Amino acid sequence: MKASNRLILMALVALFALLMGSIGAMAQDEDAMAEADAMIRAFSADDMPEGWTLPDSIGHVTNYLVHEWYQNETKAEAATAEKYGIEFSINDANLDLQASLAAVDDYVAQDVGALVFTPVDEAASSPAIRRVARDRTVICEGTAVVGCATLVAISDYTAGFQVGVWAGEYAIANFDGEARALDIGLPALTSTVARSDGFADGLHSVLPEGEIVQSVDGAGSKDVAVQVSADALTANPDVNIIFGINDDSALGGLQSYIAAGLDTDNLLVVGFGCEGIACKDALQEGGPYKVSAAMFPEYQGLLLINAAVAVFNGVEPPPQIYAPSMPMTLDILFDYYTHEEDGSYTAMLDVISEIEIDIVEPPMEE
Amino acid sequence: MLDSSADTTDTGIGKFLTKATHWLLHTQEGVLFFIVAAIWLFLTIQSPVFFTGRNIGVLLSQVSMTAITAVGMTILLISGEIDASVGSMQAFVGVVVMSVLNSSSNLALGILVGLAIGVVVGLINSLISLRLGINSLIATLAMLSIVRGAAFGFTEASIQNTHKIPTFTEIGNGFFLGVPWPIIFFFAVFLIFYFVLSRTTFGRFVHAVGANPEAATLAGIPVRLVKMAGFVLTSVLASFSAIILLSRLNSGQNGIGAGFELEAIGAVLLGGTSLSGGEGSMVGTFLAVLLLGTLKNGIVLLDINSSWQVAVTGLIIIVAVLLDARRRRRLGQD
Amino acid sequence: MAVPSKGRGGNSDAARGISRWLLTREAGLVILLLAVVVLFWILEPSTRQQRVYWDLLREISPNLIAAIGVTMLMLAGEFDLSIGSMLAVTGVTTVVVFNGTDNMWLGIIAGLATGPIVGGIHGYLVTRQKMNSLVTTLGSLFALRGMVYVYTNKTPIVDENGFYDFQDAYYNNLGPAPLPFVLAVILVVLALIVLTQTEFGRNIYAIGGNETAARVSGIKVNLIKFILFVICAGSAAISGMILTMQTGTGYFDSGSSGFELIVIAGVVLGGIALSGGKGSLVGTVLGILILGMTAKGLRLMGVNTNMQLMVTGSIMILAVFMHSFHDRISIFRKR
Repeated sequence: MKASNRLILMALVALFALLMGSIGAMAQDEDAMAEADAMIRAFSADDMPEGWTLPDSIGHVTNYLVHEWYQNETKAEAATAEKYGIEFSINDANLDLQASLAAVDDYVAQDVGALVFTPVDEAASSPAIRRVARDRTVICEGTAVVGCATLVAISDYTAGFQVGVWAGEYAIANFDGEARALDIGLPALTSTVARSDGFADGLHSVLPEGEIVQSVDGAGSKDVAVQVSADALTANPDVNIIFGINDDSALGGLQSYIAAGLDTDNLLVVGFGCEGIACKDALQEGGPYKVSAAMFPEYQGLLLINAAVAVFNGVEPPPQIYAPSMPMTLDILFDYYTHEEDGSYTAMLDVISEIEIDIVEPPMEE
Repeated sequence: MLDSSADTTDTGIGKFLTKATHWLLHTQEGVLFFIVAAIWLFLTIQSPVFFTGRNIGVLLSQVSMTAITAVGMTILLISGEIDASVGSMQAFVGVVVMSVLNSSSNLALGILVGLAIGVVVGLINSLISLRLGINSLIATLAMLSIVRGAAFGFTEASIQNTHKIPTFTEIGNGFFLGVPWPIIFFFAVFLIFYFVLSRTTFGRFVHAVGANPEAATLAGIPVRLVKMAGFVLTSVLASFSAIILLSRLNSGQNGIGAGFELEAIGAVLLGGTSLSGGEGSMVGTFLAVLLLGTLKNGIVLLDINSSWQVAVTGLIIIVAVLLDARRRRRLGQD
Repeated sequence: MAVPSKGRGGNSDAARGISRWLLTREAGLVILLLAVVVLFWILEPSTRQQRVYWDLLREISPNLIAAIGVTMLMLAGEFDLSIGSMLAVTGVTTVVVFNGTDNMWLGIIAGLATGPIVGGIHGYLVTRQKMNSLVTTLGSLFALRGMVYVYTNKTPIVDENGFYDFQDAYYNNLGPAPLPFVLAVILVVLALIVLTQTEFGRNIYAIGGNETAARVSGIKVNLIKFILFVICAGSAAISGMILTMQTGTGYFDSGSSGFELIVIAGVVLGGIALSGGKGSLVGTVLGILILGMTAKGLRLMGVNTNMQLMVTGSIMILAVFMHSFHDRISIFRKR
């Protein structure tokens, strides 16, 4: 009896010591990680840490290149890689899990120096990524997969929260504090669920009586979004805020609202991403589309390549390298982008890199 | 068979009733009508907004794209062929028409180009299927990939509306005498081809060609020409659907329309048109499209988890086919 | 023609055999496959290493196994469009039972059992209720997927126990050959024996050739079709199991991006007639290999997805045209 008691006591003490030790280590780690984080953002082709070597090639397995986000992001990756003299290539899975994992194998067969990976599904990709990450640099994009060295992504919850706050304040100023929101979401992905959650919490933080009238699954694509929001708007024609987990969803919702013959003066549309022409044009139209949680693919592409180069050189990265995001409105659009003559937009990377990143943590689940 | 067994009264009402009962109990159309009516009744009770002018307008507008394509598909299936490429057409026609509109600001030209794509793809489909003798399901499945590739090849990003032609927006979103334009297009196309299929020589030819191509050839019917007309018609109507969809979306998206072909073909088959050709019903197609559209609409109205939509759609298809199979066997045994 | 003329050596017999084989469907496919391999060998240096081909065989094993069932069913003139959704049903069931019972074998058995159950339902509906199999399985494509969505709420089911033996089976090798491929080969050989050496196999061809005639001649058409539906969904369940090993996850969208179309495309490319009764499993294997190699080569070359679609579509038209051309020649030869 006594012996066993003593054993338990000893175990408890050991456990406690371990716990304290690990907290101490964690604090130390945090400092180191913050340092690594700052360093990854800082260096460039002209200003490389001494003694570093560059990977010959970097491959990016995207999940859905059809989306403008990935097109703009991979363009930025290619441009950054070119500055370093790294060969960059893309392989798109087109939302097919099997194709995505096969593409990972193919990059291993081609012996790429580093791999950037956007999962079709984060849980299902984990075994494959863990295998590959044993002897290769793997950086996750957008969504974390167990096995990746680090994740480069915005905080989806924070970005959602920020536009939620913006929408709440807008409703106070323009709708007498009435907020009845339609949420066009995508429940299949954790990142897009976090966006919807963040939006709802942000809205409630300034307008506790604001209401998410209905959440529908717009599948992230404009045609589905138009369809489901048309049905939802017949059920709830008094909606005055439409939130979409990407710009296509939000614009699809707006399209249905117009088609339903409702008055757009009483509407606010909140988008997400603002990666392409559609969002920036819509902001300038001066209609109900007034804000979008900008994610700056041009800068995220740069961060991805930098992270890959740093990890390739043995830097211990933090679990997530936060990419900047902020509510983008017409007032500030041209502080971050210049409008070219051919209708395209060029990002001002210097200004974007200065955006302060202030993470809002989601409430703990009970 | 039934006319003789039922004690027919000679009055018009009696005849009508006999006919109506026969239609309800002994045809696929009747089965579908029952199911649609039951679901409409259920939704009307469950949701105060379901049976309102606005919602019915939305519902019918939503299904008009599938319906218009399905009308062509019905004729093609009766003639014994199929077109699986209509899904990618939604994307390809959309991006091309939008960019033509942007550069020309000419609505008529844009629509003409869109319909012309339909003609060309229809001709290619019929060429591969009829000239090279490749089964049309395989030929058009391959075309599904090729046309999708062409859409991506045409543009990487979606094409926004920069022409701002007001009439263009009206196509998918406007009203005529209080009725949404897409519904008017849908009903017009349906009525025209219902008439063509049931009252014209071409309609008879379509049935004959599908039922027995050899016999049709012997009877002097231009089999290939009839089938070719079916291919071109389906493709052109798919383009028409794509133009309506384009107007509703207000931008040319190259990723859309995935699974649209399953929806259109599924509706036609559910409507009682036979895969082996020669047999089919335009009214059945209409009811099937309505049924599938109602399910989507109802699930959002009742705020049910959208996952149910997929499951219920599948179960309804199975139930409808089951009821139809039972009906056929009963008739066979009589 | 089949009688060898006297006085000729074995050599020319062999030559004759080869020349006869060269006129078969399979020969055309072998040539097409070789052409694809050689083309990529020239165009893309990274295809010149062995590991690419082992990777390929591992990758296409699920498609190959599902194609066995689809081939047998199509030979009898029936279809199963629901195999893509079956992958998800199997995967989710397996991992749910893993987590519920903490027992790997129970999970595997439960996952595999979903195949015969679903296949049995299809078989009952088609043979007893006389429902059209294409439309019925189109219905169950949606119904099964929808049920998986509802059950999982579109969240992947993660293997909480972390059965690494299970996951490793996907990546492990037997000699140089990937385990999933070894399994696929065993199943293909078994199916080949059944199709070519047994009464059951001959009856399948008879039913697909002319169902009424088969019925009249006393073949138990309904029973055989029922069994084939079970085999088809069963082989899809095995495919689903392999994907579950690969991902360690019950993934709700497994097979949702056109798995059934890729498999059926491979089967048709392999020369199985859509109307049934014609074609061979060897053709199917070659068809799946051709599609797999094309996809792999294009991926390695970094060709973007839309061009991949166009190339795959064109190859399909080419191959099926080859078959119809071959059919016309053989009719001509018979005359």
